Amino acid sequence: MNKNPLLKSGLYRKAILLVMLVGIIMSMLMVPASAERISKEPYDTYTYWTAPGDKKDVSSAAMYDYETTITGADLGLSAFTTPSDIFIDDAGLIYFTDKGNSRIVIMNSDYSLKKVISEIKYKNETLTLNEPSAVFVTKNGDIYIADTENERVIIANMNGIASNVLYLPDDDVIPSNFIYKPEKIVVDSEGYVYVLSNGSYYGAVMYDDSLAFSGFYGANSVSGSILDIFTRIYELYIMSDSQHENKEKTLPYSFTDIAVDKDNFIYTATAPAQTNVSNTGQLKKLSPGGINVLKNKTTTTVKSAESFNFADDRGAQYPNMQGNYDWRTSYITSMDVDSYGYMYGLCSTFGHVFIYDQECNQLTVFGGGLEEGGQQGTFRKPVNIQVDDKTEKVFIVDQLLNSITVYKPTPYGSLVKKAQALTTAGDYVEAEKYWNEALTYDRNSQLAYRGLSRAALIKEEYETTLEYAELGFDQDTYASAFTFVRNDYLTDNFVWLFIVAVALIGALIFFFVYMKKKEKKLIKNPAVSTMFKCVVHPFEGAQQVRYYNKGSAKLATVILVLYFIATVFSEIYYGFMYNMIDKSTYSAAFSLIRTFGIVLLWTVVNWGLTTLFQGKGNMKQVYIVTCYALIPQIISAVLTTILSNVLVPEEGLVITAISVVCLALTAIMLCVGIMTVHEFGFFKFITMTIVIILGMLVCVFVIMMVFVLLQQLFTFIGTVYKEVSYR
Amino acid sequence: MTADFGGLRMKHLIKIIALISALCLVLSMLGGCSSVKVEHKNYSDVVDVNNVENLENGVVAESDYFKMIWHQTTTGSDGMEYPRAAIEFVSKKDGSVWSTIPKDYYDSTDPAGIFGNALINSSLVITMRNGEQTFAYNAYENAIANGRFSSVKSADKNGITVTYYFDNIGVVVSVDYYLEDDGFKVGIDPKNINSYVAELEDFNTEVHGANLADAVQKVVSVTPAPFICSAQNTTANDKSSYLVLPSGSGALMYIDKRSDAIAREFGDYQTKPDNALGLVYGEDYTVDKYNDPDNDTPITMPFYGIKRGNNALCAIIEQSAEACKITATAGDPQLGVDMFAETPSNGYSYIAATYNVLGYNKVYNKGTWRLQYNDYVDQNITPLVIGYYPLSGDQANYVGMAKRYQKHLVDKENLKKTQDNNLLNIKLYGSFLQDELFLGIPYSKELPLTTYSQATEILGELKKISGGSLTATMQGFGDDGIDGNELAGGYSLTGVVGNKTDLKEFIEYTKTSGIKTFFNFDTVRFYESGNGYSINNDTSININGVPAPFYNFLASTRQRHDHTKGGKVGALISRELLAEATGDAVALADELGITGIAFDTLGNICYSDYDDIDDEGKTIYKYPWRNNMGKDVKAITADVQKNSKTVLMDGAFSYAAVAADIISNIPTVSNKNNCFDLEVPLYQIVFQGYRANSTSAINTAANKRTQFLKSIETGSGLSFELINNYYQELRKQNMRGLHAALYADNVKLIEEYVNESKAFLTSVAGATITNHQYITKDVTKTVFDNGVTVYVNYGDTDYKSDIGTVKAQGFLNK
Repeated sequence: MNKNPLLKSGLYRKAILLVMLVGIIMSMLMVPASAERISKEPYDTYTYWTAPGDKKDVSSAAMYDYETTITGADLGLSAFTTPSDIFIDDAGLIYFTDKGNSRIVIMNSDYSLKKVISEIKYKNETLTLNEPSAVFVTKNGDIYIADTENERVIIANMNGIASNVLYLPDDDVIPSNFIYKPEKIVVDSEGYVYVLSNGSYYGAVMYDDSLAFSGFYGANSVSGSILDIFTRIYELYIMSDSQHENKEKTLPYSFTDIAVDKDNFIYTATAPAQTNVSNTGQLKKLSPGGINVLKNKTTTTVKSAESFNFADDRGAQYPNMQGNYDWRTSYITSMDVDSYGYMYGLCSTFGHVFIYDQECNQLTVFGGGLEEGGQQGTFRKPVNIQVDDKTEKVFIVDQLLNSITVYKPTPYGSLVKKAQALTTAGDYVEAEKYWNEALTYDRNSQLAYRGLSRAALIKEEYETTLEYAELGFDQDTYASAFTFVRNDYLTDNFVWLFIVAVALIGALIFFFVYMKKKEKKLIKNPAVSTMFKCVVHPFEGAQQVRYYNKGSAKLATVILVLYFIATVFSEIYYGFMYNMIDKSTYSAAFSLIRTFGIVLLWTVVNWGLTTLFQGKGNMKQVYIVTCYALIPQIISAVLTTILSNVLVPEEGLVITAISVVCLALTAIMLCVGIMTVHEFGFFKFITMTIVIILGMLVCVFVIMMVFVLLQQLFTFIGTVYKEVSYR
Repeated sequence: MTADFGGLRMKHLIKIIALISALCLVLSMLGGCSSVKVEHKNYSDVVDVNNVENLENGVVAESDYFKMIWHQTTTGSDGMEYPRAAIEFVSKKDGSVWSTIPKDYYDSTDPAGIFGNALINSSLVITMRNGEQTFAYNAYENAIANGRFSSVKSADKNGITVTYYFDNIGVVVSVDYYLEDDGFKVGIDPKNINSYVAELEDFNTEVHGANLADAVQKVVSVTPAPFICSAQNTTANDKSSYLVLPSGSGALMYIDKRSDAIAREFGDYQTKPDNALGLVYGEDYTVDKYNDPDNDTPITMPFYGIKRGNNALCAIIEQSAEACKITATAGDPQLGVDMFAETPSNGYSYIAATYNVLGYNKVYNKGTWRLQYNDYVDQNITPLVIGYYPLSGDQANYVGMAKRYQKHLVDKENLKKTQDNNLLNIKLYGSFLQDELFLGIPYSKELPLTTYSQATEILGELKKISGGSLTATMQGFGDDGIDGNELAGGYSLTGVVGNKTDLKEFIEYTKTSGIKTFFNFDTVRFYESGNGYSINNDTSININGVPAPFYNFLASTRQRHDHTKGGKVGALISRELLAEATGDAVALADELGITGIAFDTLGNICYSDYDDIDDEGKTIYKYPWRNNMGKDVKAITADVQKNSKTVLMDGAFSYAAVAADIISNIPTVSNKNNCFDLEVPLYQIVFQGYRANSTSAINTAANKRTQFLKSIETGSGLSFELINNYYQELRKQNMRGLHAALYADNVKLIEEYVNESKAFLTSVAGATITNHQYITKDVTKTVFDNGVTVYVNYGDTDYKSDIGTVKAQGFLNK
């Protein structure tokens, strides 16, 4: 005999159950720890793994390796001062603007000095450069210099002889207060010139092939939310004139960099003025009409890249000059595009280089320094990025280190670039050998798995496709291959499947006919019978619960438990082609809240509030009819989960239809059940339902408050305990 | 119903209990916050400001190798006597002069020159704390120029002791300069660094706007003889003179004055004591940090030096290296320049060691960070000793310096030669934790990366490839595998890679086949309590009196990967328990019949512990500023070796390399600072031929071929990291190496590289490096003491050497 009084009272058992419950919940909430990082370069190379409901930065093999840093001393020159722009021409000559020293420095491809230009001859006069910010060289050797502080663009040759000078055009389109400070410049192969002027949110100033002004090109727009619409209405109709005058205008962000590809598409980079604000759609590919045509193509959708974050999602705190910590977001200020069409974005805050293909697939991220970079390949204030198309080298200008850093592709980097270019071009089979080799460098390459799955699909190796597509989380390719695998299976096994189906149906018919003939009841238990009656005859079933007390709370609880299990089953085992949750971070605790929590809350609040409004039903009856109404949801969860593993998304209408029908049935059962047990009319039921939902929200708020307070209390107790124990 | 307790009503009793509890709580917390009281003495009570004694100018000590000359004063060209407190060491061997003030600068008798630059005139620099800030004070401006120094002959050493009186801040520091062995030495006993309450009128309140008068201990660090390793800058692109720094494998900084007139600086001892860059043996992990902008490669050996034309000076920090920081400035065009002189000099370059005496922590709170220093209670910190060894002729270069340090290790640390060097060195990973679901409830499941039977197969194949010269390190074979949360993998081996019989068979196989096998234990870091080691009570303590957290950092933002971001926070085992924790690992090895033990952190994490240990009734800090870490690790390793165990140290600092039998993952790169001009293999020159060694893994490097050639350049063994099974779930692991480690992907590469290098690496096994040089920026030449020479070409074009054509990305040996 157990003498423990706690046990005797049953409290002990409850305590154990409570501890177990807390333990289970804690284990569900506990986030697994990650292993430590191993890295050998001064900076990390990583990429983002994207899966349904998941985006995680993971270390990856280096695609780029540091090659060298070029300073003024390396060229036998005085120190560079705030260098700002760099350009590599077809002959491999490297041009960059040493802005603070008002000169253009030209290097040979071996990084030796070729020439310094600080003055240019033009029609018998000498033009002295004044803080030039950008340089661009055309295929015929014309050097376009954004002579910023002189508010002009000079077109000169290698000998320092100018052929033309572009000033601010005299045109009505240009606002009178427009300040022309050319900071970036590109020229397409047709001779069109695009100039970004400092702080201009009108877009690029465009000159045609005869160097005549032809308008502004491709401005950013201000994004709007519903709140913005209300604000705008308020401004238009309620604000006084003086308030209008004093109100700060919301202006679009201006372009911070511009580039042109071999097909004359113009690309831009956009960054907010404040460094603690994040934005999306930082990189744009503009059509001749100035519209962003860049698409974010995932494995299942094609969306505009306007909402795609090309930088890191996370921000970071880092020390400022005063010793405090500022919040900084990752934002892209400079970009370039190479002959493959890969876009290179440069984050000035973290010193990261992001590489994307034309479908916004990320190839890699490298670099770093977090504005403190003192090591090779890290940065303090990187401001410009350029790619040499021939050597694939990446050049980055740092305005605080006053240097140019050169990265060269690693063997792995070259492989991935080749392979992904072939994959995006649809040449999957040709890309296969590169992807296979790339995997030996990094088996964690999502792009490789996706590329290989598509290659296998083309080669009609469907089982292999499924394997690779699952590894790369490529639901689209998986679905394509699955159709073939399933059809093959059905074709091979049609005969016995047909026989089994006919046998099953026959057996069922025989069973029901037999039961009817013998006048035997399938379900003898009245409670169970009532439960199923609630499904097929909701009114009759509810009345039996209300007036004949035939409902069973135990049975209702069994239904609720089954509902929870079905929900978890559905979330875990839902077909790969449809699944949108990250299984590695999934926790059944949330399902527990969504099932048990909501049903119990609904029951309690329902009973509590309906009692005040002449509701006749008691809590038990509310609980029973609510739980019985979940039967269609259990059926739906099981059926749709099974079907999601059999049907491809194109056939997903069947799954949707089952879900909708079951949901409607649940709604009807709940409606009829509650109306019946409380003896409400329909409109009163609707009104009460709204009130109950509001009541539930209040309860959730109170529970959360209590939870937060308890959490703080425990934290305080923990802190006090630690303080006392450590001292 | 109301209970009554002797007249007290229940509610009153509760109130009283609550009040007493609260009072106890507050008192205990206040008690915890209080520091050990130290007597504050007034400066004038201790120092007689009007009575200091000094030696006359002239030779004050002499040995077979040196003359030590003391210059109390200098006569200026205006006939005035100027206090200098300079010490000159003249080599009897080659006549070279090494002085606390650069000789050429000292010889200038122009008073303007003498006063031209206070820093270069200083034979001592100290940094002081002032609340949360620190300031540097040079001895010339604050003591010497005012005649506030004394000098006496040492009683027990062949030299003198100079005491510097910083009257205005109430600090007195004594420095010993003496001759010993074949070098001269500078030593500071921390007992001779004293600060008092300054009472003088010109107290520095006006300068820094704060009152230092009530500070307890103000000296944060001291830099003795900062310019003894210095030289006037050379002309641009002159590569004949340089500073030598053992950052990672090693690096050089040329001291030429360049066209951009920018000084290249490494570390900062004057204004940024919290900057870990330059710390010998890397950062101190008991110091908190919020973010980690770069991946740093630490300084691995306690020596540095300068090559000055045909002469060189090698400085070896012979004692208290753990507390030192090496800082260097190259090509500073302003340093030592008298702008009014007719021919101003080019400026000076120097390299020096700073001795930290006060522990600190960086505390982040509500958007600001503060520097906090430890209270100056008694601390058992060992004195600083730096030995300086002039080199000349063929030895006056970085190779000579590395060889001089090697000699120091041979003479003083009993480093002995070895004939062993394993051609192929394999690290096999055991298992990892994967997140699984059971009915929607997440749990961790361990998955095998390499089982014992797979390891047997792999090693069998690799033995054939390598011809038997094979070493294997088994990492992540403890509980939780590579995710090991408890100390030393919970002091048990995981069962997921095989049972005890499998293990026994594996061990038996490696023994019979002659494969040196090591099981890896991390006896320093841990994340969870277990096996008698508590994460709360058995950890190293930072200066705030709480366990020092050990963070990993996020790849993308380089911020702490702490609990709030899904990471985990660990701790370091208390320094007092380090030996015991390691001993427990040895006991486990004994139990399992393991004879080879590898340590992946013992040899490369050097940390402090500010636990105020009660030592015979007196509370002291026993391990401030990583005190005696090297000595402790050597003693611990010796104990392990006594137990018939062979010890492998991963990424070993020099003290651990000396203690170990085999060293792996040795650095092949420097910290890659922008101020470095050339990477040199100092580490390899020191240890090749003395320790069997291998470089970091080839297959996980950014450029496999380059990493392979790094091994060839210095005759180090080839290294690979391998697993047999790859899982998709490994993507959650941030260990990049795992994703390139699949055996099936690498076996051909291993075979190819082994076949290419077997003959050469076998020929230099046990040979020491006698010379190393860059022939071009891409081609190196290494000469071994057995006459073997190897050229390595990292470039993309062939190179014609005196022994034949060295192919691009290839090597050639004779």
